[in-house]
Amino acid sequence: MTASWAIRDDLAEKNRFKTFDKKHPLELAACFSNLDHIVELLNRFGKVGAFQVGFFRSEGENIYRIGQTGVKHAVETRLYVYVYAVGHTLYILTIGDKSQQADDIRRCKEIVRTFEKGAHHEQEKHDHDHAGG
Amino acid sequence: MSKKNTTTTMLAASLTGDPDAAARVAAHQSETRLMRTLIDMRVEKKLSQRDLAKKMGVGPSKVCRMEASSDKDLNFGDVFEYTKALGMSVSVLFDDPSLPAADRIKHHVIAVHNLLEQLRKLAHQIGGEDTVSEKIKQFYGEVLFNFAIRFGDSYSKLPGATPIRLDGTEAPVTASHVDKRALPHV
Repeated sequence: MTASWAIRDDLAEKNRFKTFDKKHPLELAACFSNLDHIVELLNRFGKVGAFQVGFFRSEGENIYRIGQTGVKHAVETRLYVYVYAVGHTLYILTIGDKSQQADDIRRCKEIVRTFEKGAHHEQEKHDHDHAGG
Repeated sequence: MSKKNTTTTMLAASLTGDPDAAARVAAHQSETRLMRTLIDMRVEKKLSQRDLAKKMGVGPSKVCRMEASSDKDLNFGDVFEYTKALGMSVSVLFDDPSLPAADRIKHHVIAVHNLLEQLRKLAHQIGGEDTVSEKIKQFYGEVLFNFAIRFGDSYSKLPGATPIRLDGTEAPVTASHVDKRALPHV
């Protein structure tokens, strides 16, 4: 049995969500609803490679974008998440529209690289402490 | 703020600072429930959108558009073709919540009876000695047991009712005793 997946917002650009919600509340809601669906699929199938869903696309470096669905005349929206497979956790990163996507992805990658460096150091510290008895 | 094991509705509200965002997420979930089920069935069958489109005899963009729709924008014919391509059929249950509960229960009892009759006919076609036929008999036992448990539980909670005891029953027939994969689809 696989561990269930969690969602965290530690790495999220919170101001972006506030601003985006004011402009496009339905698109934002659709993305969070689709995030819920992705978590459910991860809980059932264990890993991102086990399913293919149109609104869930890789942007590289374990960053995925979740698009909006079911909203008429919607602004193309992307909710970016980082899939931290080791910890069975999805980290919410940011949200934006298609016109901002290049900048958004670049920032997301910076956030994730910083996080992974920190996680790597934590792991090394943990291993060192345990090796020392 | 760090959040773990929380719901997406709560997260939407907390990240936007807008309590109404939670209701909007819940509304979207409700408006896309059918489509979500269809996607889950496709994924369960290990089919990509492209695979399914091929089985449906349409282009991949058609499946992509369908899966990006809300339930009310779905065309019934498309849903029929989608499920057919998955090797499944569509069952429609018309349920009227304004009807008294007693009428709705009768409706469900008739539906269950019809399904049991389909199984019975299948058992006759196969013949009494076959393994599948034996499994069907076992399954009848399971249905009766599960119904009796739930009926008894509900009945016992009625005001002034005497709790029903299922004494004298032998080892209960449970789902674990029946290999459902051995049962044919009807």
